[in-house]
Amino acid sequence: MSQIVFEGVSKRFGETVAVDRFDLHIHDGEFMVLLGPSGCGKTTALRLVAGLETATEGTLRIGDRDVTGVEAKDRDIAMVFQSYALYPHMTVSGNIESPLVARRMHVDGELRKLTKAERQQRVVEAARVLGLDELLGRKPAALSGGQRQRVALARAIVSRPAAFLMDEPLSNLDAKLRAQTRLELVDLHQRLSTTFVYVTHDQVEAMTMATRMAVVVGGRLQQVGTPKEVYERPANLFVARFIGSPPMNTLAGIVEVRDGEPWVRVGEGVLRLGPIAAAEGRSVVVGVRPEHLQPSADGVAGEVRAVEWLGHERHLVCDVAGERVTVREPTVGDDPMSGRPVRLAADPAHLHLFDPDSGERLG
Amino acid sequence: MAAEVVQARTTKVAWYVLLTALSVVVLAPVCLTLVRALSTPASYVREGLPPWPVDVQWDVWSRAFTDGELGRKLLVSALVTLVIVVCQLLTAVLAAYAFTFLDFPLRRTLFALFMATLMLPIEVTLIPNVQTVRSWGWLNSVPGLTAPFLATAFGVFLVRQGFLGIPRDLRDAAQLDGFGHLGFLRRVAVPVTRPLIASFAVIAFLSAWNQYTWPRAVVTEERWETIQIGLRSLSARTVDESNIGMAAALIAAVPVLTVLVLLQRHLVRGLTAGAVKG
Amino acid sequence: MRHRGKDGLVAAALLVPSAVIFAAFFFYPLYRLVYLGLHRQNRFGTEERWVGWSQYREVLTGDEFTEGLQHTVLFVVLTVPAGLVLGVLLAVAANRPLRGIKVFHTIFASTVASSVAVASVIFLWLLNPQVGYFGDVGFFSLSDPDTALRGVALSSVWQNLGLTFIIVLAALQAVPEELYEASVLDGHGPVRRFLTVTLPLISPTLLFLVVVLVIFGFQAFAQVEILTGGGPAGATETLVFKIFQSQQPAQLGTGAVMAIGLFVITVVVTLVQFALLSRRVHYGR
Repeated sequence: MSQIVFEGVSKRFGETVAVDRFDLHIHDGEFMVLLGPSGCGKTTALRLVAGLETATEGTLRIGDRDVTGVEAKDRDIAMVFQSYALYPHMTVSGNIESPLVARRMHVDGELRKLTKAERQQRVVEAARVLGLDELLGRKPAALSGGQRQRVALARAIVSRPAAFLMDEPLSNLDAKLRAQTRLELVDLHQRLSTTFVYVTHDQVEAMTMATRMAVVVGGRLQQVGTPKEVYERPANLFVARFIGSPPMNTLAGIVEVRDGEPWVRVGEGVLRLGPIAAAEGRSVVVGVRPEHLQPSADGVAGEVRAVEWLGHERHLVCDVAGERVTVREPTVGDDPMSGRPVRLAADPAHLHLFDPDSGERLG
Repeated sequence: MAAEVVQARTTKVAWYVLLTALSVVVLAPVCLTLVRALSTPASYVREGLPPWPVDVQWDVWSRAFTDGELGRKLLVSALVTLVIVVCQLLTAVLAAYAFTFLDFPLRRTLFALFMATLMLPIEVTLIPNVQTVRSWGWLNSVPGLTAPFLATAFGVFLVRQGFLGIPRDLRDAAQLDGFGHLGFLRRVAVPVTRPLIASFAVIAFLSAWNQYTWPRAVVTEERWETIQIGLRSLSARTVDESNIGMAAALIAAVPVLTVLVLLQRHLVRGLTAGAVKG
Repeated sequence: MRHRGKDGLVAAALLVPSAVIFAAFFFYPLYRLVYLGLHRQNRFGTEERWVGWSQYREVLTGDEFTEGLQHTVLFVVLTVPAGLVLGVLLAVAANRPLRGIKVFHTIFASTVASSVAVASVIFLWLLNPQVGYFGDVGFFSLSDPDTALRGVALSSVWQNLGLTFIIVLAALQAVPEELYEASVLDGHGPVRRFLTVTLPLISPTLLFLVVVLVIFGFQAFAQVEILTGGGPAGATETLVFKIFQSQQPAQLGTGAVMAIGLFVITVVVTLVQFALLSRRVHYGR
């Protein structure tokens, strides 16, 4: 049971900076998801925790131990790889047992290798937890994708680590299996009460599984918070556009002050803003989620380009002041026709303002 | 519809006929040699060289053994082949491991140098190597017969191809599992690439057993002759004893033929690893 | 903890066995050959005299070498195209889902079991002028200087069939079925299909085979020794044969130069082949 702390950790590969000054505190027992687009450095960060890469700068702690220079096998962590990394020539039982063969474990206060009997017992336990009892004699080639994934998980839990590291473990599963496995993983987390560090580019996974998430783009931490926090108050444009499906709409605009109240002008229309300290004439980017935009009598002007009908709701894809805007609304009444002009507005509480240059949130 | 079926059947039959004809052509030299090996040469010639044995001498095989001391020659070949195959396997696996999984200065250069040896076959390096071997007193000996072949770049290449195919994740998992280099080599790398390594062993066996030029250069005493160079003297006999030479040739091919039939899969895999994409 | 090149010590240990062999029996000989080529020894090998590059010039332009080169090149020309075409024919014929096709595969591949010596002995008696099956076939006659090399080549073509077959068959089997189907849909007949689909896709393999067979051809020795002993009248003496003959002390210099010549030719030929043919090779999709 342990917390994981990144202190100013950077990782460079030659000229490329994969991880840029990470300061992240992962609490003991939480399910922390590192979310970000491909190549953003989240996997590298995970590998740094695992010890498969060494930090170029900074300190890494697991528990209260400084593990920056410690070898992977001595860090008391377990990892589930994207491709599962099962040894193809060993049986399920052999695969599950493998972390116990060469590593020394903490047993009854001492650090030693396990006996054959102890190893076997742990293997049986782990197999039972993941429902693999019947499959112990099989080889990975004879297993389905879901079964292989469970073997990878069993291999991880068998060493009773302080933390579990997972690198996009669901990406090789089909959609249905993915949804089911998400629930199983959350359940596993609750049963084991161990720290989980989970890497993914899929924000649905992040939102549904994380106790907290860290959005990573370009090797830098953009925002750390609960899914709710990240969704409702994105710290910058990256995060705003990355979280949410369909993604948040972002429009360029200029602040206007009318009767002491702040408004933002987008094209020909204006939107009323919530209380915000922004000077008249300031350029901003205003963000609003598709579900918060509604057709209304006033607001910004646009034209419906396409309607995507999804049964329970429909998406209106519109052009507003030259930018693409998506509106989610319940399927009430006839579908609007494409080509039809429309005015859209939103409650000021649901409008986010960002600086156009830095992307940072304003207010 | 029936017409199509008939035509399909006719085409099939045509193919079988063609394939059988081609097989006859391919097998003819060996079959004819077998026929002649079993025949008494003089009678066989007199009968006008028929495609069946004439005046069969069943004891030609044992005569080949006693006359040509095949037993000793086969033993020498076997010993030399064993040493070469085992050493090539060891050196190739170790070197391939280094080139695939280790990081060290000059790695690319060294690999290029290793591969460059492929351009230096024994036919080119014959004269100096014979000098070296002679100066060490290794003529007519196992060390002399095997020394230049204890390592081969082809093996390093082949095994490295196999090792390269091991997914990165598997190496990471092994590292997390606490396996050092030796552990990883023994428990993961070699078992996973076993098919390719087996193929290399088959190819190494074939080329060691079939070698001619080098043994011919370093063997001057008959008792150290390998079976292949033994065939030369055995085949230089008169027509009346020609069947012995032929029998010896066939005997020499038996081990390889056995390996081919039993391990064809491995052989094919090894030969095509470098040649075929996909 | 991790530094570039951290595994130096371990790597050294793993590479030393191979490196020692390569150094002693591959690279040192190369140096030694050059050295020998620069000297001339007397008949007993007791004296050695520096002669410099003139010996290279002499030998490489001399009759011995040019003859040997001619014979070797001729041998390559005789064995490689024929061997390739026959191998492709066999592979194409055997690449079909008939019952029992595996038997044919084994038969066609079987010549790979024969060593050069074995193949030579077989053809020695097949082509024997007095008692051979094809002894009276003038085209391959081993006793006629003009045709003897053809006889030698025949034995090698037969011997290489197995290898060529195995490799081309594997290449054929690697061609995706869909491409053939697309070709059928395009209305191509079998010949056209072969030319537009099969041939381009197996061309990397064919290139590889050509290189291998040419290199084998340049190394021809055993078949010459067993079939003709270099005769009649030196008509079949290949380069390696001549190199082998030149192991007497007085001829070491000559032999060394010839060996260097062979080496350079092999390297050049290989490189040229790659350059020339890879331009015409179609690399898959």
